[in-house]
Amino acid sequence: MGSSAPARASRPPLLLLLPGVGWFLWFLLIPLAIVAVYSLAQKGTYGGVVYELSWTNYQRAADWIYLRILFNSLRLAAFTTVSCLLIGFPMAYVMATASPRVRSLLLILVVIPFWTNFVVRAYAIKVVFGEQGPINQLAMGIGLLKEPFQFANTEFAVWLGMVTNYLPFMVLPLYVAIDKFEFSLLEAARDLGASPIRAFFRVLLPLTKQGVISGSIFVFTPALGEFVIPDLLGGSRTMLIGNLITDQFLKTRDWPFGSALSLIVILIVMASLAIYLRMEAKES
Amino acid sequence: MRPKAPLSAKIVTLIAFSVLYLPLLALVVYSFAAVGPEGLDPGVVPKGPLQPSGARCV
Repeated sequence: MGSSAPARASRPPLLLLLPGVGWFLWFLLIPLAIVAVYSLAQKGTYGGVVYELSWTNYQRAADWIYLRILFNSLRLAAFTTVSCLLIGFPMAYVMATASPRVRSLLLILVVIPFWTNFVVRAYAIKVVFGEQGPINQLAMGIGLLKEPFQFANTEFAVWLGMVTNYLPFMVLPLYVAIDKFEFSLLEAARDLGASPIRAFFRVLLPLTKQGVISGSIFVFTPALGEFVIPDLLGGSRTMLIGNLITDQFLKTRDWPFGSALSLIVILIVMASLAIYLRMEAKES
Repeated sequence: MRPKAPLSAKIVTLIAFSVLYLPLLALVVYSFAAVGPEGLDPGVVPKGPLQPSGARCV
C-alpha cells in the first residue's frame, strides 16, 4: 500500500484532462476533419457540396492567380510582423526600464485600444488618414502637400491598420521577456568593451528571443488570415488570402474550394512553425 | 539597477502611442459632431429636425 500511494499520486489525473481534450476534439479536430473532407468534394450547382472526392480544388489553388494572392498575403503578414517587432521592441524596452508607476501606466496604454472594437478602429484610421482627414488637412495647411495624400484603398493603409491592430500582441510578450532579463549582463558586456549595438545583438536579443518568437507567432498567424482590415482599408484593390477564403464561403458559395484554401493556409503556418522549431532544436 | 532607455527608443514609443491613439481621439471628436449634408463633415452641424436615419434636415 505504501508503494502504490505515491504511484497513484504521480499518475496524471485523466479526468482533469477530459474537458480540454473534449474541447479540442469537438471545436478543433472534428471541424478541421470536416473542412478536410469538404476540400476534396466538389461545388454543387446551387452552391451545395457534392461528395465526389478528388484533388481538383488543390490543383485549382495552384493556379498562378491564387498563388500570387497567397504570396501577397505572406509578404504583407511578414512585413507586418517585422514592423511590429521593430516598433514593439523599443516600446517594450522603454516599458521594462521605466519606473514602476510609469510602467503600469504604459502597460494600461498598450491595452486600452483593445477596449474598442477593431472594426471601429479601422474606420477611425481611415477617417484620420483619409483625404479629408486631419493629417492631410494639416499637411496641406502647412504647405507640405499640394494635393491630399491618397490613403484609402492602398496597401499602405492595410499595413498601417494591421500594425496598429497587432502591435499590442507583439509588445506584451516582448515586455515579459525584457522584464525578466538580467540587466547587469548588459553592463558586463559594456565593461568588456562591447558597443551598445553589439551588446544589443549579442546579449539582449538572444536572451529575449522567446519573447520575439512568441510575439512574431501572435502577429504573423492572424495577420496571414486577416480579411476585415484589407476589406475596410484596402478596398477591392487589395485581395488577400483571407478575403479570398471569405468570398468563397459567403459570395461564390464554393465551400470545397474555400476549404482547400483554408487547409493550405493552415499547412503553411504549421510548416513554417515546424521548420523554425526544428532549427531552434538544432541550435540548442 | 535598470538602465535608462535610449532617446531613440523613447521617440519610437511616443510615435507608436500617437499612431495608436490618434484614431481613438478622432473618434471622440467626431462623436460630438454631426453628419453633414454631403456625408462626413464634422465642420457642418445642421440644426434641422432629427430624421429616423439619424441625419438632420438642413
